[in-house]
Amino acid sequence: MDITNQPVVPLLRLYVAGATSRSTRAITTVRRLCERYMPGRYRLEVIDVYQQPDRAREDHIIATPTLLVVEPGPPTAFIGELRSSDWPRVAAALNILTDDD
Amino acid sequence: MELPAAITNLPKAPTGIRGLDDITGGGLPRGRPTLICGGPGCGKTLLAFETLARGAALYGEPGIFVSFEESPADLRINVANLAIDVADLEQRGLLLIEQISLDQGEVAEVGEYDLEGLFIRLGLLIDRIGAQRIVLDTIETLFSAFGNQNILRGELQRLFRWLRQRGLTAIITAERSGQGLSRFGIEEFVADCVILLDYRITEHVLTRYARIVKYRGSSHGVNEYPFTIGPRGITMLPITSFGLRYPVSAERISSGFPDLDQLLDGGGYYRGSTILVSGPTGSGKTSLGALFVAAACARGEPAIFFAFEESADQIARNLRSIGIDLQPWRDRGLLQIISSRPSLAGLETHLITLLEVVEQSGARAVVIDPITGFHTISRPVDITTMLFRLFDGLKSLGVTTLATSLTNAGADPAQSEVNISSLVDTWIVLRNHEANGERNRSLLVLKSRGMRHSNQVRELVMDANGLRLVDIYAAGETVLVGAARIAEQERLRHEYELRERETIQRQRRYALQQRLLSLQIEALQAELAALTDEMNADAALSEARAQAQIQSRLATSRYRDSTQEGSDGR
Repeated sequence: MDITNQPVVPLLRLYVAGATSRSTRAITTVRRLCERYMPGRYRLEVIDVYQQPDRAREDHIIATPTLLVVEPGPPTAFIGELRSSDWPRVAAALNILTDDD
Repeated sequence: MELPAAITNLPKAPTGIRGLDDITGGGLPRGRPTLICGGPGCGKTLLAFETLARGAALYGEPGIFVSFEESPADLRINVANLAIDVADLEQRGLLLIEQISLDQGEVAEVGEYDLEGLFIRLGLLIDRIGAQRIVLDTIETLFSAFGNQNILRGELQRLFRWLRQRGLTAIITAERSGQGLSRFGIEEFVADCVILLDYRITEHVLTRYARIVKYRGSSHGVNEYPFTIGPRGITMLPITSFGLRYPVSAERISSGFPDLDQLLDGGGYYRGSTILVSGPTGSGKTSLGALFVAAACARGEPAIFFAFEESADQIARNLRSIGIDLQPWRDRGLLQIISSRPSLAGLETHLITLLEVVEQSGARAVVIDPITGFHTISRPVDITTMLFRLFDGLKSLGVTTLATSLTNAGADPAQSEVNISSLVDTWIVLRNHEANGERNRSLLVLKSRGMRHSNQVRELVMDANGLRLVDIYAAGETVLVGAARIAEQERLRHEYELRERETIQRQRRYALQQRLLSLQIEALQAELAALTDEMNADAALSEARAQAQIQSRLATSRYRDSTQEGSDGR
């Protein structure tokens, strides 16, 4: 089996801190982004640092919100609330060609 | 201006670092953040770690070390020689070393964010061990991991507020660069206490300094305080912290040289005092030092001889030639001869090492031979400062210290040491006298506080039998020593004998004259007596004659009367 043809289901982790409006906004934005670029074909973990500090530690997270694009590699961290103008950069990290460009 | 007591008595968290607590008047502000800044390699991390570890070990205050850079494994290696059992503290839940890595590979900053994640993680660590102290090392790493300086500054300000609210004694380390104290002006947020670390290299020797730039609500030492990083961690030497508070002893201890003890009011040095022996090369300084430590050892007191010019064996051998054997004391472990080159370390390092060795060994008598060895590595003003602190430090330990000082031949020893003369209690000046093709030594007790000491110059005689002092002969302006003294002594004895003989002869002459006169008096008296007899005899004869004449005249007239009566009256 050719490994390059094996489609990788993208893995994203969104770290937020507590149920703040900033967290809610970040989650909504990232969900919209995923649905836009990879409808139904992605894995998104939303991690609250309060709930799972060990996960934050493993991923070296101290700023929130932070979106980690884990797969496909190399891993990339997007720190801060995503603006729509930032979306193509996330898409690039996901190896997705967009028609936005 | 006097600070109100309430503010001066700001609660403090002792660092447990030797000297630092003296300078800060008890430690860092308790429950508040302190900033330690300095360039790379100046000891920030070590100072922060030691405060944390000693706080845990000595004061039972649990602490967290948060490293943004170094791994805990690296850190443990770097602090391995602090004489603190880090692993034990960690096991007992008194110390927690946590690395907060900021390495996230590819990073893009896209919008607004905060450091809540950091707060949460720190909060959990703090709760886990009930931390009272925390170190964040170094803050610049945070800045370099994030691009948006505005957000970061706001978040750091919030972090410091949060640390205060949690009542943590916090140490934040910061890189120093350029003009400001820290690269990002963090000192503006951490206003309570700012300590600046620095080092300078002079004559290829490194010396570290610490200075308290700011300590809100507390008085503190304002000088630059040198410190060393030694086998027992950081040692800082406060210039004035001893503050002349050491106990004064009235006990007298022998100088190890009975003749010298005689000059010192018969009792020797005061215990805990500082003695300076100055003189040119070969005038006997080292010997006086050796006698002093030997006497201490003989009393059963540990002693240390710091030799900055000769090796231990060289000293032992040289002293054996004048009958001083230090070997038995070395064998018994009472005497240490520690030899090192002044140029091997900086002045401060020498100073601190010296004090540390003395304190650890419990030595009661210390010789430093010579203190002038440091002139090769430092400026005179620094040496004076160092000696001031050294003597002060030794005094506070109750140690009696004899320091030797090399003076240039020709220079007036009383002049050249004027800088440190006020530091010493007893000052002995040795001189060489060169005349008539030989060299001899003299000794003078220039001063000795608190005792009536001799003001006489004595000749110091050294030979295989040891040392002794002999009265000196002065001929006019010149002091006579050695062969000249002996010659003078001989001359004086001859003169004396001569005078003695003359006296006897004169006495005899007088006695003779006396007898002659007595005889004359006898003769005259005899003559006088004869004359008196003659005179008396003559007087008696004349009397007799006069009587006889009267008798005869009477008889004649009686005859004539009788014949005239018969013819006329019948």
